[in-house]
Amino acid sequence: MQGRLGAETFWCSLVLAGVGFFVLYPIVLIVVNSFQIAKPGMPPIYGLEGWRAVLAEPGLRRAVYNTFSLLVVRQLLSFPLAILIAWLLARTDLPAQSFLEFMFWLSFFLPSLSVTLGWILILDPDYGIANQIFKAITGAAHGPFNIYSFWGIVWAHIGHNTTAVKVMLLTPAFRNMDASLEEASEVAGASTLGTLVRILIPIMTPVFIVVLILAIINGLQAFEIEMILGAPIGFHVYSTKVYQLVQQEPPAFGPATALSTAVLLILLPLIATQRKLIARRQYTTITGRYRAKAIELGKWKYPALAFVALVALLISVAPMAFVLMGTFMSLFGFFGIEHAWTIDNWKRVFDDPIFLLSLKNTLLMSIGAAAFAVSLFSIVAYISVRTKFIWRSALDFISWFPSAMPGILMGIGLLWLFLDIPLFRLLYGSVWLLIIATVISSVTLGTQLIKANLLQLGQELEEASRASGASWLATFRRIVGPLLFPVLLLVGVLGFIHAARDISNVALLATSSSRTLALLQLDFMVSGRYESAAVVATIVMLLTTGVALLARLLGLRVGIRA
Amino acid sequence: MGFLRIQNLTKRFGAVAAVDQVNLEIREGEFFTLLGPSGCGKTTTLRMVGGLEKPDEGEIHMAERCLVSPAKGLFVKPERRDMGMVFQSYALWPHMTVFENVAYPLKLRRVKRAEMRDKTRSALELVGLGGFEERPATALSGGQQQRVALARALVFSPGVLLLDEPLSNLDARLREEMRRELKALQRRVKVTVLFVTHDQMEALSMSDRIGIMNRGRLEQVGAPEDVYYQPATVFARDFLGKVFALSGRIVDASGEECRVELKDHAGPPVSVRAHRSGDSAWAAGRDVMVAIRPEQISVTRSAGDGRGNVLAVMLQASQFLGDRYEYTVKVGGESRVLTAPAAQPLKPGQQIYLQLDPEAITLWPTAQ
Amino acid sequence: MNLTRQIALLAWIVLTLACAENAHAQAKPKEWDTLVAAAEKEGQLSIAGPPGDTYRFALIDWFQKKFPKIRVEYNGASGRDQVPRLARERQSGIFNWDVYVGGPTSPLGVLKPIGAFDPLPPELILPEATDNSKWHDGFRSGFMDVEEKLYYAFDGTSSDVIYVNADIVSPGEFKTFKEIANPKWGGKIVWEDPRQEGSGLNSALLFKLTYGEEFIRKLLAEQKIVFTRDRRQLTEWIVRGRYPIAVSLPSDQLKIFLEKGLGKNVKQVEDGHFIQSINPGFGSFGILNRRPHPNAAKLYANLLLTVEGQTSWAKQSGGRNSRRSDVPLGDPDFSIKPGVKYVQTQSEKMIPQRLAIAKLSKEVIPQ
Repeated sequence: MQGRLGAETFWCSLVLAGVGFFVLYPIVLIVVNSFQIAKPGMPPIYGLEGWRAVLAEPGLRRAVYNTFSLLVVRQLLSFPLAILIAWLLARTDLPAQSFLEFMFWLSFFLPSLSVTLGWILILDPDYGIANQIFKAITGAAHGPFNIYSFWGIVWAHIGHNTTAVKVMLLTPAFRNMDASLEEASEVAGASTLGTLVRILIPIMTPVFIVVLILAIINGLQAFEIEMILGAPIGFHVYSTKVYQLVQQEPPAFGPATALSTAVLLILLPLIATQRKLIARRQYTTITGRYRAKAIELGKWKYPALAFVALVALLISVAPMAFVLMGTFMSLFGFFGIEHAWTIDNWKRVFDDPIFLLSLKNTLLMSIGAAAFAVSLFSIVAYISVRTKFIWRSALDFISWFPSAMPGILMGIGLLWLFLDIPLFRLLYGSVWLLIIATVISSVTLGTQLIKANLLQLGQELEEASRASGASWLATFRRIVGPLLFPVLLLVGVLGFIHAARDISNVALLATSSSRTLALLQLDFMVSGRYESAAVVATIVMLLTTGVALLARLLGLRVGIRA
Repeated sequence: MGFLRIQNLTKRFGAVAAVDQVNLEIREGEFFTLLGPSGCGKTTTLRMVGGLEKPDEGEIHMAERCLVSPAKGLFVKPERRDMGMVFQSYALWPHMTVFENVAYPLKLRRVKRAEMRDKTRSALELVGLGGFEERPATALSGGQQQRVALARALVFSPGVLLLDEPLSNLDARLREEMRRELKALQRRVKVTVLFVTHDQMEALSMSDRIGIMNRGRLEQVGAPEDVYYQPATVFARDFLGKVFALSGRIVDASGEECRVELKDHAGPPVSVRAHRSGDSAWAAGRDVMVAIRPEQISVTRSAGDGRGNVLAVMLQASQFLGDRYEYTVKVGGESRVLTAPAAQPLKPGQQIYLQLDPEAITLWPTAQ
Repeated sequence: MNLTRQIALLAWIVLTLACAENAHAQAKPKEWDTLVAAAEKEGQLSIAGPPGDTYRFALIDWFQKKFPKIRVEYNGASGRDQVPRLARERQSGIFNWDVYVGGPTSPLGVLKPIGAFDPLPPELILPEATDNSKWHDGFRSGFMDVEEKLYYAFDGTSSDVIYVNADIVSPGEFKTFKEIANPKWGGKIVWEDPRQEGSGLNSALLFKLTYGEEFIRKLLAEQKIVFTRDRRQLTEWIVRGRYPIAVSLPSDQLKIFLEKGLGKNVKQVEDGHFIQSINPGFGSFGILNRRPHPNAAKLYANLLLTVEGQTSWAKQSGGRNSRRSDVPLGDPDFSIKPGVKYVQTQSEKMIPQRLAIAKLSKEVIPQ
């Protein structure tokens, strides 16, 4: 019989040391490197040139302004929309909830590039289908839509990930809410909408804050859409600037890291504020008196269904149609040519000698990453929410760091880490290091998600289990795990897709025997075979969808019974 | 020797001692209640007994087994303590059925399937929920959830049952019903109970003994009647119920009965039987308070035979409360409230007589 | 391509392949056989190569088929990703790669200074590989490093500069490339971003070399040019006529459109007075020292430079040509003419010029 606190402190310290090492080591190297002014591979020289170069970088202020205006507009539009949809999906008697929710998952699984190309096809100022139709009907010389614009970028984001990911994150959190809280408000005379605004939204504050901050961070990292739609009109954002710096010859790693470090410093107070806001209040919404009851929408039932279905159609079915169509077209978007439709793109992929190996590696790595992510992130989240471990806030704080670093730099930092430590050199080039790298670089989202949901979970549920004779581990397995299942599932699926799509880490750490589908996709992209690249992206999407469906089926047996 | 022994138990949160040097012995089969306002340390004490908090000092023993002792570096994890616990929020697991909730402790103890089913069934029948096995735990009413929590805590026949304000979330009527049932249940299964509540009615009605806690300290331990009628501290006196208190001065403390002259009151001095004679605190000339539970005062229209303590007072107001009346009277220039069953209604403005049993009066030093 | 031409080409390939076999046989047969045996014993060859499935096919497919016993490990990545990684690996004592294939700028800038390359000439034992008469301007002119021994460009593709969509802009309007600065083309030009290494930068450099710095400075700053990094997008734009003039149009991308019957209206414009240049693109390589499979690397380096290796490069890499004159052309439009002296814009000597033009582009291109 050993002292509980002694053992707890020991294990918590071990987790902190592990996570801290893997996260801070690359970041510290990156920051140190921002003062390094020698060429790559040369003996280091230190100076402030990188930082000076950043300040002198032309258009930087404009890019920062663009980044933030895009961010604000996107969040203002998508946040209320996502809250409304998540609430409709989780708390009301809306028909086909499970199916509709999955539509939003699908939207998140769709490959950015293919979806964006699809929107270009419809909204291009000259040859976009929507504009053509408009011109044909009205006889006007120009159509009203232009995807190559600020609002075009906003649309491409909202119509792709921005809304979908929020619905994905918010729906389980809403579902976990005790209905008696709503009932109490309704008894007190509030309307359904009033309840949503006055009771649910305040109660859900920790989840909202986490989702919002993640949205801000993701907004800073968002990259592909801005690159495709913004670069031609000279519209740059922070992430495309970093990319530009790293892409130039020789790569300006110094200024790129300086810029990223500056952004990390801006984010730190935001993260600290978030912690304070959440710490101040009690947010338990699942207690042992839990009541789950759907709100009856009454006459609003079918209008609400039409609304959610329309959004789902716009952000998942339509883009999915583009993606699938793209994989069967000789040249995406050219309908008039001879042999416009073909299966060559699929053949090209299946015939590629490294396809099967890449598929195998992707599956191995993504499943490994999903499993590792779920276990690691739930432990980290649990420590920072539930234990009295003295350094728990430090652990939580650290978990924010990786997402503040652009993937391309984090990848380099991790490469340095793995090459510097002799133990990892043994694993160098293997799929295991890829798993570690992708999990570390996605630690923020998963940990914060689990944390937010854990905050909703009444502590007595665990104590009751301990008092019933369950050890900490058994409690975690039988009580905490199943209650958090929806979010753990989500984290697993996110871990899977993150690993399956990762390029910045894999490009630096993979060898020919550990290459994944993402690199095969990149290969096709580089060759300009966008259609075959879309095939690979579709295969990744199908894999993810399969895993998600399987997991959801499993989830129906484990989740809260109502 | 107590079955559950708590010695010098202390728990600090920062600089504040939430539980401060608590000593307690609970007998086997006893229904023991820790009573006190919120924040008095009663729940923390219970959680330390259950192993959910770790004390800073002191020891807890159960049946000669030491459960925790920071000095010896000893700590038995909650799951090894053989205690059932019912939480304020019931803490039913929403992902399990009623059966799964109750069977959980048995499952962890690797009880065989058939035996598990029988034991779970009988535990549910014990709490009156036979036939609810397959319902989801979330589909029950508050009272039913409470019973499930109780069944879960009892199903493995624990040595001690810990109850943390289990009735506080029920409505008034259900609470009364559960109070009776809980007591009856405890008598039937003869389990030792440590019960925590802030409701003096619950404490008084169910307990074999009560421990009154205030600011982390155990102020008085005793049978319900003892602590109610003979509170040892001002806090215990005021917390347990209403008090009818009058100021005065001791005029004679030599005999078996102490005599107190009431302030600004013209009548004869009041006799108090249970003072501790010889105690210098109660010497003649001291300013004191005489206190009595209002329901122990008989209210009459006439002075009667004049034996005992009879106070003539002016009735200022009366209020009908259904089963009794509440009277506001003027004694010694101050208004006091008391309640009494009313045989006949008394009119405000008339002179009435209060009879104070010398046995029931307690003496208190005047508050500084 | 019509059938007869295909058959002719096939016959020609078979013939040259047969000759190549012969060539091996002629060259010190014993030394060669020992090399093949040693390489097969090593059983593996690790190539750090350019990204893209076409280059991967072009560089290893033939070799893998020829030596099934040697497993070819190929990691494709751009020099920007590949080179810092290799440099860092070597710093940590990891020597995973035998051969580096890719554009010369990054390896010469980073790998050469840390001494990562072994001299090539001692490794090249096949007379066919180094036959001066078969390489444009002689074998040695392919070396990209100043010492002419470490890094070799086998690719010889002449640089293209300006394309127009003939439906909208008549090629005849471009009597000289100076026409591009004509204000009437303002806002109609698309250009691969010259701020990063690539053919956009190469074109900017050619303008500078031909017309001087002021010309390119003004052109980039004032002509309202659309810069993109997306080569496929750039190509689609000129094919669709959205921007009718393209500088640095990727010919391999145009080929994808041509295959489907599109982009026939896209015409290259000529200016005989514009500087003549070649660049190897991704078609240059070096042998890394402390390599894990020295014999396989040696075998590969020799064969890569023969007709067989170069034919695969020209046929499979999507429109690149070889500097060898005895292999078919990948793209006749960019063939190098015998006797003409071309400026090699990617050699080590040109690196300072390339860096200067990238810097200039960054300064003058409006955001």
